[in-house]
Amino acid sequence: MFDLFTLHGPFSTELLSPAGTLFILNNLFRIYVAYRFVGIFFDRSGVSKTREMVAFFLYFLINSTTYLAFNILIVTMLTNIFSIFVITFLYKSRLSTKVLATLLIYAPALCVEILVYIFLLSLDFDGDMANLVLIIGSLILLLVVMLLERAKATSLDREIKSKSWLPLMFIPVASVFISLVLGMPLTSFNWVVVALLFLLSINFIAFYLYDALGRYYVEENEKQLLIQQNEAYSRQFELIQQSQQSIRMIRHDMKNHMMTMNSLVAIGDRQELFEYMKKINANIETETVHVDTGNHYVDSILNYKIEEAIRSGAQVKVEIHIPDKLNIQAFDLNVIIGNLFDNAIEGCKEVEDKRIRFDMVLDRSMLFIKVQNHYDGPLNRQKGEFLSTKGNEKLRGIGLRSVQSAVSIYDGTMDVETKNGVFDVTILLYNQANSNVHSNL
Amino acid sequence: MFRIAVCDDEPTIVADMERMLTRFKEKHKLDLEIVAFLSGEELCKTLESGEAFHLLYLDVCMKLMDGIEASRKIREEYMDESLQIVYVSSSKSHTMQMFENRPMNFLPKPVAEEALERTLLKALSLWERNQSDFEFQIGKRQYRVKINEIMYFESDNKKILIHTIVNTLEFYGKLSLVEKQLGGNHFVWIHKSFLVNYMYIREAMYDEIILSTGLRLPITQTFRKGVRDFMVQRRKGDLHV
Repeated sequence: MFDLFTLHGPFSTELLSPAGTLFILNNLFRIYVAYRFVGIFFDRSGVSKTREMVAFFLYFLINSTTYLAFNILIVTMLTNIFSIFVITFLYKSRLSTKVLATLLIYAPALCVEILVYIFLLSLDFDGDMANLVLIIGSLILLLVVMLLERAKATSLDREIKSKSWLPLMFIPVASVFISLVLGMPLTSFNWVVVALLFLLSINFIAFYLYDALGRYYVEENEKQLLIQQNEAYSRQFELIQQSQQSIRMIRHDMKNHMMTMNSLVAIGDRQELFEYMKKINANIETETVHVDTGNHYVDSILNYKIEEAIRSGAQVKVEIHIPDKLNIQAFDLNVIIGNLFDNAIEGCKEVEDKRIRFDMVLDRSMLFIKVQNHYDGPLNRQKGEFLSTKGNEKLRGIGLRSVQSAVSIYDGTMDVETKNGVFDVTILLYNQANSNVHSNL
Repeated sequence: MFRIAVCDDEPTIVADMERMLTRFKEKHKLDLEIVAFLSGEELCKTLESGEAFHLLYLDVCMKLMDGIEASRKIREEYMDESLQIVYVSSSKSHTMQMFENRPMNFLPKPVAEEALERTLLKALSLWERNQSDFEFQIGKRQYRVKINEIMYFESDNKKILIHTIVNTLEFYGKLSLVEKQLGGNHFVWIHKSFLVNYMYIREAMYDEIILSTGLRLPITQTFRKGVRDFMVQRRKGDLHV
């Protein structure tokens, strides 16, 4: 077992010698790296700069003095860990995040230290070179921190499920232990065995984390699906509302018409009655029907959307050649046509040429849907999704993504082309009978 | 010479369309011949006698043999895929049957001049694109086959089989070179061994296609995306804002 309590580090040095100053400078550098590292885990915005400066300066003082005064490994290790932990209390976060951050900050730092230590031992450098290598070690650590800063995608201050606790904390702890075993020349066989067992556990944990990632993706997908469904439902709801409104108006009118016709019959004025009935007939005919393809679902979706487009100031031209029954679910058609129209209407808002062209054709069992409209300004294309020129960036991305996922249910494809200020979408859906379509209703 | 047939049991409509088509002929200086038919039977008898047309305007509802029956005969009995059919119908809705005979387009009655003109021009451009031949070599001799007679190419070992509507020809070659030689967007590569003429596809599904003869050819996994993109690109040229 190595003698943590009497082991001396290699860095005993006179404080004011050149080597000593280098040592102090290196320590300062290390503190700076710790400062950056802390920034990855915590939100700095709520803490005053002065407080931070003071805290880190104290850390620096304590660290340097313990190093120089005691120079016993276990003491320096513990002071370091403890200081970092105390620093985490500067920031507002969960306790679990503080513990995890402390471990994840300390473990790599120790690894680098031991790395440098082994390096120095093997090359048998003296004081000056030793400190130079120390600085290189700190640079390596800074590099690691910078990479982590860049790689970080989420907020690290979040709830950790209880079963994730142990594996997460275990890795830095195991790393510390393994680094010591590898680095210290006084280890016995037993500790090597323990270290190897730790390594084995780390591999298991890696597998577990990979699996957890998979679960995360599944949940993300489900969430997206729910969002889409919600949007589709609210659209259906609007449609229902609109038609119910029409029904109410018709019913109201009918009552009045009946009363009038009743009285006309009562007084026996046939001529007047005929005129009246002619007027009613004319009224029935004037419902704004834009398309009448025989396919009820498509007709209702299109009529609604075309009306909406016209109300927003666009001019809509359609050419529809489809049979009265398609093997595409109305729900998916709603998502596709609805979103395409929303997109086109949105695009037209900022331009003078407000023409929208919409086509649907069935050819050789393939359903083609085309939308064309003018748009203004640069489209933000991020990761293949389109962000709106308006505020709501995330929302617009979802629109075309919903279309894409509806399209993929039918093994189809969506082709988007933007040229000369024209947004051109062509969609292919296979209108296969008995396709393996799982209904998502 | 581009031959157009107009078939409708209402003489006034036929006369109207003939007039409009003649106007386009003069306007675009086209080499057109327009022939009128007053019934589906008359049309079919003429076709059976060996006369061929490039474009047919067909009334859907006629007494006795209606447009759907006539077009079915054209596609299934006469196996003619190069005759472009445009259904002319007073109803805006279409039945599934109409699509099964692979029309090029639909025209609502009363026929608008602009719409008629568009279908004519589209048919002409499709015809022009299909006019070329495919050239290949057997030994030292050069041969050629009309592209619109080739249903599909099949590769068998080192040989390429050209399946036309009348026979099957053979020559030594590689399918990838054939595809490059053909260019354009007439033939779609659905399988390592099959290169199919779009004209002769009756139904396209994500994992297989059915030819007009009823033959089913599979679309292998790796080719599916390419097939989808091909179909979309073909469609894209059609309409503009």
